[in-house]
Amino acid sequence: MNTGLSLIFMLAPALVVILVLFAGGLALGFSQSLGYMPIIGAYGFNLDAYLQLIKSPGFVPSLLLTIFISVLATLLAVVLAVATALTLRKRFVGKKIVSFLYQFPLTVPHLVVAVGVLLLVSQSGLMARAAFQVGLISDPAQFPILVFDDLGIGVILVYVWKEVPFIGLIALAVLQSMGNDYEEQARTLGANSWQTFRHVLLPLIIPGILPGSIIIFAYVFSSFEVPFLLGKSYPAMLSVLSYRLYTDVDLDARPQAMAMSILIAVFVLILVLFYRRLSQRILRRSG
Amino acid sequence: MSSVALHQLSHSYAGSTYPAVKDIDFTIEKGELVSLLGPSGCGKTTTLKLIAGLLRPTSGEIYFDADRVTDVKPERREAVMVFQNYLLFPYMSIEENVGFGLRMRRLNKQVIAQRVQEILAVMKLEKLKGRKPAQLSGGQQQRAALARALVLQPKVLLLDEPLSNLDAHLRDEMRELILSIQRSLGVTTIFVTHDQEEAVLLADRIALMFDGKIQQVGESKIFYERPASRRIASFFGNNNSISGFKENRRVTCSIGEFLVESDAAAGPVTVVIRPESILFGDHGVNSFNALVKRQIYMGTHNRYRIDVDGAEWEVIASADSGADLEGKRVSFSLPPEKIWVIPERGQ
Amino acid sequence: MIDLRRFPSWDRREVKGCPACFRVIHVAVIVAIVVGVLLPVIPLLVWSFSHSWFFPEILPMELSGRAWTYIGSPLSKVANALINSLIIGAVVTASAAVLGIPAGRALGLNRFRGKTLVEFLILAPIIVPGLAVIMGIHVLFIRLGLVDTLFGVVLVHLLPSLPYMIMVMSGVFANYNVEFEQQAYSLGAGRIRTFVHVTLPAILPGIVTGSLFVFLISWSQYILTVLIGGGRVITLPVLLFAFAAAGDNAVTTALCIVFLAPAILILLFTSRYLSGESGAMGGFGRL
Repeated sequence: MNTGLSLIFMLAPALVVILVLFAGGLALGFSQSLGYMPIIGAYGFNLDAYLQLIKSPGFVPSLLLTIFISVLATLLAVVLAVATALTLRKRFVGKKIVSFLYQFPLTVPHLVVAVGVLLLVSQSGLMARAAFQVGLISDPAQFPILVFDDLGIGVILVYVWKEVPFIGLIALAVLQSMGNDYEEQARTLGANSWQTFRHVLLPLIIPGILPGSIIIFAYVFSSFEVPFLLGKSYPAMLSVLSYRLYTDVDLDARPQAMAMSILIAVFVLILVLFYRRLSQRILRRSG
Repeated sequence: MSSVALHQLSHSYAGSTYPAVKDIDFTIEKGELVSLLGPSGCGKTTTLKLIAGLLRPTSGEIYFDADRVTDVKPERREAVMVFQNYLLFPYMSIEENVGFGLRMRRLNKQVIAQRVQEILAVMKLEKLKGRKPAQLSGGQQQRAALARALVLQPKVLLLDEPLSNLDAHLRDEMRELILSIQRSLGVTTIFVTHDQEEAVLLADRIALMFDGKIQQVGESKIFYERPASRRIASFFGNNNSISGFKENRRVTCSIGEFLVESDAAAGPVTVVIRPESILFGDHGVNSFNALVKRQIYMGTHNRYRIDVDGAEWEVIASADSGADLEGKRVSFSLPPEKIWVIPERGQ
Repeated sequence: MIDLRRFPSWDRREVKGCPACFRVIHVAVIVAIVVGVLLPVIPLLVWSFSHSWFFPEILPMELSGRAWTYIGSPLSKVANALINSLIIGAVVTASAAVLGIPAGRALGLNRFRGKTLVEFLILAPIIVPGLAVIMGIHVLFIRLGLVDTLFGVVLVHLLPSLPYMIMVMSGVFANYNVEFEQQAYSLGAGRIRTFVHVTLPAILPGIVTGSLFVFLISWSQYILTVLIGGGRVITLPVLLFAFAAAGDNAVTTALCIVFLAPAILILLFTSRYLSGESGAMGGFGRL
């Protein structure tokens, strides 16, 4: 236990760094989105940038695509993470190697994964070649379009590959901290394997992986590199639009870029709150 | 309820070289309350989990009545285990916890509600049914865990250290509760404990385990009066033992020679005598001398530590005699009919 | 005495299960982990040594060390970028540890008024997209003269990474018993000795896990580096992004492998801390 003063000493350095960078950055970004840019002689405070953005034809498809990709990627990652964590918790031959392989994607930068996925599932990629060799297709064009596609499948693949071990390791930590006892208790009370998973393990794991899944949801929603490399240019994810506007030679696009970033932040916050509500309700029902 | 028969039951944990439980042959009668007693690591909880079906035996069989249940999964075995730390599901209310097993069996909702209501009333948990486990005291949690098991009307009730997590004053109450439930339901009950006093107070019969094996089975009395080994005597708090050699009715040992009434065969033996059976003074037979190292006043009696050829023996005598014997050499006698002789072979 | 004799018996129903299913699923999941993790890595390895490799060949027609020679040459700036990335990563990791360990301790061990607010502030940079903040920070850094400098890049890398360090450390300290330290003091150990011999061994798994996350976030950071570094501070991701966009597969994949190698090395040493026994990953579940 610590006194108030020592608490402040311990927390202050980290908080100052975060507050100055985060709050400062956010405030400046927000003021620019309102059209306040002294550098180019703009001193207005208005919602023009927001209105222009929302009215632009690409906005709604981009928003929908962004929501689709981030929801699906998070969902898949969570499901696969729980499934793999339940398996990895048991003893089996070669567990050390498999565990190491499982952690491996954590260390791989998103950019590298994007390149790997591109060379694997594009129409001239390794999988298409394999499909050709076994006679499934006779022409690259017959292979399904998985990158630069309408649904962002390639983008989703990258994020799922990357984030499964993140959630999975958290789930493993939760499972290990609770041991086998709850499961055994459920079994002797008459629950079969599936019921034990559904009514005991899952409700115990979910609160533990909820924060982690929110983190990856927010990340997928707003990150830029992967959809920039593997996504279609229209509709593109919101982050790509924002980046394009920001790097536009026309400085007038800046407020729109800022407005887009602020909107992304607002959407993320709304969706995160909604997600928390939803998962808590599911949790209550599963009891 | 059913009888439980364990036949040549063994279990080794994966990666372990020696078995946690070895060749257990033991039958628990219908409606009996039996304690598996032993120090930690002796295999008693493993045995309980084997009966519950949570572990699969490496070899051997388990029968409930005439039915072989060795391969029956835990959820179908109807042997319900109550864990040491209660393991009430933290996200469910007490009512939901108690109804868990019935819901898993997909019974009619009204039937479930009614059953849960009944058992909650019996266990005096009605007022707490809406609470979460974390809002309950240890004793209340234990009652809820028992209710959750009993509502299923199991063939066998398995309790793992049911009293060890409770405060001393709650322990008596819970012991009475378990006893009265067991008596009125007549459910076959096996409980695991490391505390010999608990086993004595609660069990019809005790099975004492060391090193994965059942060492001795019987009513509590025989563990005090006729322990099967020096180690068992010591586990029940009696360290008054000495090795010797028996011929006819005579045992020779390092402190001398004495008479016994045992019919044990001639050969090397261990001799055990209870602290309250030793008499101070020369009573004509089996008399020896010893130094009293310590005298402790216990209210109703005195407890003495005496030095018997390097080993420390305990003597319990009435406090009336009054004299302070500490540091003095005294004579003491071992009544032949009170001496318990254990043949050394076979151990 | 409680009388349970009036407690009548009822019919028992049984629930069906599938004994073999779970074993099959178990093996299938392990195989899926191994295959799934390795699949996108394979094309990286093969491509980096290929000279010409056209559809539908499953293996390169001609092998070559061209990409590797190019990467090794000063012309490619890879050595420079590698050094920059390592320096930035190391400084960011050390700074995050110095700032994050005390903050994590304060949060993990204490309850105080406003704790939820502090936790929210610390989490905010992870939940609120970097893009929304970075554009504002860019403006701020231009004024402060931090743009295009290594220091500026280090500062901005702290924003997404410091929260991870604090989260992991607060999780570790939540399971930490301060009385061990008090015991050490009462046995005559000074502050420094107590920290080295008592505190440090207990929290080491957390420090290793947190540092791994921080380093990896900095190591794979693209957008923050590019905006603040302004093309002057060249790191591996910046270089890789340029090559990936240009489409030279052999050089891109060779660079990917260079990009991967240090992270794998680090994982070799830190893997055991991640597998859950130490509970260091549990910090993500406690927020």
